[in-house]
Amino acid sequence: MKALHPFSAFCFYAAVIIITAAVQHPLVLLISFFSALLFVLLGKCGKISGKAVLSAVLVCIFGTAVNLLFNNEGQTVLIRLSCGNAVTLETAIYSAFAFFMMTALVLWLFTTGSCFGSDKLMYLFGRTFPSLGLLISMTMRFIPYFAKRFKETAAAQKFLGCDINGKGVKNKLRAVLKITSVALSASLENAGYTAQSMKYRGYGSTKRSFYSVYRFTKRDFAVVTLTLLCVAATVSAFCTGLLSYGYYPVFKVHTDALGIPALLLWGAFCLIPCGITLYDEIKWRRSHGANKA
Amino acid sequence: MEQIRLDGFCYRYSDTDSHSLKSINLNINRGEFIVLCGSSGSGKSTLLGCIKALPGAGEYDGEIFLFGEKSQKGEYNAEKIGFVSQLPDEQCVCDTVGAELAFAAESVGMDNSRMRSRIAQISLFFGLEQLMSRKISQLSGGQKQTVALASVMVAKPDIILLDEPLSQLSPIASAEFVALLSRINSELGVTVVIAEHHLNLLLSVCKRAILLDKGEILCDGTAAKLVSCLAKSAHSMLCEMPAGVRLSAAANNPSPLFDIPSARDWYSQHIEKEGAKPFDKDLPLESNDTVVELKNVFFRYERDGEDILKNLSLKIHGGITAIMGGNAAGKSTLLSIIAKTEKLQRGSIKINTEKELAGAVGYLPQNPALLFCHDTLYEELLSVSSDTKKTAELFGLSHLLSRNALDLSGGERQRAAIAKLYAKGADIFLLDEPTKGMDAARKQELSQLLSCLKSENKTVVIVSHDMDFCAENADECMLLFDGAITVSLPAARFFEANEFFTTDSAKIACGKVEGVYKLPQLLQTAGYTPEKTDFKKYSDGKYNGGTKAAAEKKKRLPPLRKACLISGGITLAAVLLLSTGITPLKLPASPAFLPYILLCLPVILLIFGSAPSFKSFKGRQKRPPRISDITAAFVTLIAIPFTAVFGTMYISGERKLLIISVLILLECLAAFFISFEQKKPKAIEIAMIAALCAAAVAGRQIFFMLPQFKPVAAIAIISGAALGAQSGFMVGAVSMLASNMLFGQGMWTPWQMLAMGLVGFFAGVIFKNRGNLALMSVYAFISAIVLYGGIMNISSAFMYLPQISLESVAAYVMAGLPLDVIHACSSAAFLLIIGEPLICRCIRIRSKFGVFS
Repeated sequence: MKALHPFSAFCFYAAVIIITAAVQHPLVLLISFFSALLFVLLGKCGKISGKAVLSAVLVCIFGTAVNLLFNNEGQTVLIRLSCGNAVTLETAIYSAFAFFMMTALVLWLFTTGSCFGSDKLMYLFGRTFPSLGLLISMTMRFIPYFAKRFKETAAAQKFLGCDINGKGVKNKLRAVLKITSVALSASLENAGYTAQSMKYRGYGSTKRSFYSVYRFTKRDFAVVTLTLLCVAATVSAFCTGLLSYGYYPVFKVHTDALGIPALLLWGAFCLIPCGITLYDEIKWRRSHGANKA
Repeated sequence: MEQIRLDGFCYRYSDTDSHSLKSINLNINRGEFIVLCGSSGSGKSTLLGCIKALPGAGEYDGEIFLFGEKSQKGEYNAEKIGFVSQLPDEQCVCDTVGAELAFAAESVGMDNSRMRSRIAQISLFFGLEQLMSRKISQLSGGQKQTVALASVMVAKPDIILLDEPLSQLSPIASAEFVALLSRINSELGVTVVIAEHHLNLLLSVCKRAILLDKGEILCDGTAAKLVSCLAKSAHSMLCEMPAGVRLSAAANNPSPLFDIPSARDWYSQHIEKEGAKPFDKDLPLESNDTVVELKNVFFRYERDGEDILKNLSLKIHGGITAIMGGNAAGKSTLLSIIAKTEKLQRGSIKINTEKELAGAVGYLPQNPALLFCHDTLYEELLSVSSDTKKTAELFGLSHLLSRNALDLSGGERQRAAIAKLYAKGADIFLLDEPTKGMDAARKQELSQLLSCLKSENKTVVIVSHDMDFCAENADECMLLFDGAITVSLPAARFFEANEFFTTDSAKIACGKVEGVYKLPQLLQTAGYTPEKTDFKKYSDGKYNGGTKAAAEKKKRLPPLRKACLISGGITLAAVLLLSTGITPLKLPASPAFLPYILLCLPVILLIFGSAPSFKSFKGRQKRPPRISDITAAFVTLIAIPFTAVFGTMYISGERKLLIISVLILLECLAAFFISFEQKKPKAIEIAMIAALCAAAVAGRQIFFMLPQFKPVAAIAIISGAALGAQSGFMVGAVSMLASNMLFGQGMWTPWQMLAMGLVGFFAGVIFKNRGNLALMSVYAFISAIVLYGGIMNISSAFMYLPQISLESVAAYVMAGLPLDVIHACSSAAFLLIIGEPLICRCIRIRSKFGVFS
């Protein structure tokens, strides 16, 4: 996945996220959710902090709960709350699938971090918005630099009475703010020198060109083709009514025989990342011997 | 072949009376390696800057010809002339080495295949291929400087100008850098012109040396000619020469001794012939009390990281102590341990001063500017002690009291910083690399200052690469290696005992005369009196700015445009709110074009209001519409209403609202970004916006101890107020994007970008002309709750709620409110406490570099 061209990676993620968010067909959601989960469990998409996942899942649970409590649609009333709102079976089913949708989205987005890192983002941005791309690159450059300067300033200002480890929240706050101010002033002062260096190297003299190290490979071609196919199939299946669903007033799912290929295609599409990861893994083991790996 | 010719060139900075360059006549031919020397303020940097590009400000006379063509104002000649400055950190623009190398090639519009080949060749030539994907911030100073040089070489210049490139480097990194330069010169035939103070490495490789003095060329010829010229006129530059050269100059030796072996041969013959004369020995340190004592100290930055300091023990006894060591040996870390800004993991630290106060340790960072936080030097000193006058007199700062500390020259700035620490009552002074980028005169001044501190019974600890300066001043020297102090001896014995890590004088005298390690001693033993050059007080007349910034008048935004912006913003918000359907009011569905108009109108108003000066079209050159113009117009005028109308008509299902709102959101962002692209922002604009964004993002990490305290909103407001609405939007939007790049992207990213961008944008619209801090804080409070909190809560309701109803959205808003209130309070507090100095600083810099007009 990491080796994909930014364009194909972008196509894949855009399609998977938009379809997961827009289509609420239970099977589509479940396929998306389990493929994302499988991809995360394969463990080849970088470090994902458990804390972040937990907080995201909590947000999803909150959303589900709010929906369950405040939504009165549906025929089959399970419980009637004292405030007049009713919890219905349909809402419960819908909330459950909505929860799968949310978590699927969260999982997909978490995997973007490693497979679709900042350099690829820069590639996509930089093509269309060169100044914005440069601005982001410079921001990323200045962040560690500012953090370092903040630390130096804190050390220098400590003796002058600004101690970030001092007592009391008020003192701490004051110290932190003052140090930020001093460090930011110095940063802005130095931005002038950076600007000079940019001009000296020709910035602004002519239209900027764009440097990229990415090449479009066969694999990228395959991913983009499958993406387009799948989007076309899913959209047409839902537009023509081959696949349809409804949660209200009663929960019902209709799947035409011709709709099944569309679902299968969607499944194949969602499994692209897992497929690529497993394929690479198998190739690696074959060429390096299974026992060593 | 002649590449550069200066005919009677004079230059004067616009805010000084005297000329910085006086009728310079100079020819530079292909393939030369020229060293430009001269004390600070002699016009070296000005000369290099003028050759690179004729400055827009200031007055000049005479001509500069580059490759036979007359140089024009504002032309930077990036493809012909490369320029490397003395600041390794500031001159790197991008985040990774690869991007940095690409930057120069992109800027001159090189096509992709050529760029790839050039970058590959350059990185192989400079040995950077292992570092290509490395972050610039993880490189050492020497590597950064190499990257800067390589990046300049990508554009394939014929000439490279370097302005004191070695001043921030360690001796070893300097030697490597000079070796690279001579390879570029001899293997690629590139002309090299280098202005530098550290001459001992350069004189043996250069083909020609030019001495500048007060803006005039005093001497032009070989290195040997330069030395004899200096010796004849007893020029102060002689002090910057390597020991062998000084020796031969004192002896009136016609051929200067550039390298150590020849100097040693000459010296030993001389001593055998004449016999060693007596020399001044060091006085032993009077006090023997331990002032600072560290015992078995262990320290590391990260829990699982490597120990930076390992079982380090040391004793510092008063006087001046120098700590030396390689790059990243932990010298600066050791200082912060002594200053107690970092806590030890193991071991103990004891500080015995008269006051017995932990706070008696004053720390001077490499950049003295970090100690200043007030408008004038007077206020700086007043903030730490009431007796400002006495301190100012003691440190010779009386004439500078009305100036802003950041406008002082490097030497004055450092003196002011030490004065501030002194006035605060520091007993121990910790100086981090105090001689970086200094010429001999300023080093001499610093030496005097240090001995003055010593005579007042203060303790000084210096961390430095500058062996000669340490030898000259230190009473005790220590060598830090592998996290521990491996050698700690009085200076004389330290330099005598070391074979590699020692001064040139010690190397020359080694085996002949015992105990010689300083240059004056070396000269004395050979029977010469060390020449006394008269140092004038260094004063830098470049700018006495500060007053100008205050006088700058801001242009008023015409009321019509302001009205456009405000009404546009309000109606857009209202329409968007109505179209979500969560309010009882509904957008009238018929006639069909009504929603279209309702959406178009505010967007048009917004564009009219924020378009760069649509009134002054007349005087400008007409340019054909570019693709970006057309796209911007398309997006705002057609795409957004189209999305809204067709979205409502054709998209069905529960997620309709989410899809429509996300599409509109992306179109809004695109419209703002396109208008930013269209403006073709200047280098200084981009650099300042990036610096502000970085501070906002880094702030999120820095303020971790205060929950929900995010400085992004406050910084976006400050940028908007100081630099204009568009910059405000960019700071807000890019900060959120960059911070999510670090903390994890999510569905919320584009929403956060738009919300924070609008906070900065409206700040720019409202506070363009007033700097009322109270009003701004109120705005910060309200915008953080209503604008940012509102957009974020409603958008997360859209995202996470399967079905939207007024009640459920209200539940979301209520749940988010407490956090929003904290955010709002902290933003308002941030502005109230440091808003003013920051806005003043932004406006000062803005006027200093003449941007955003």
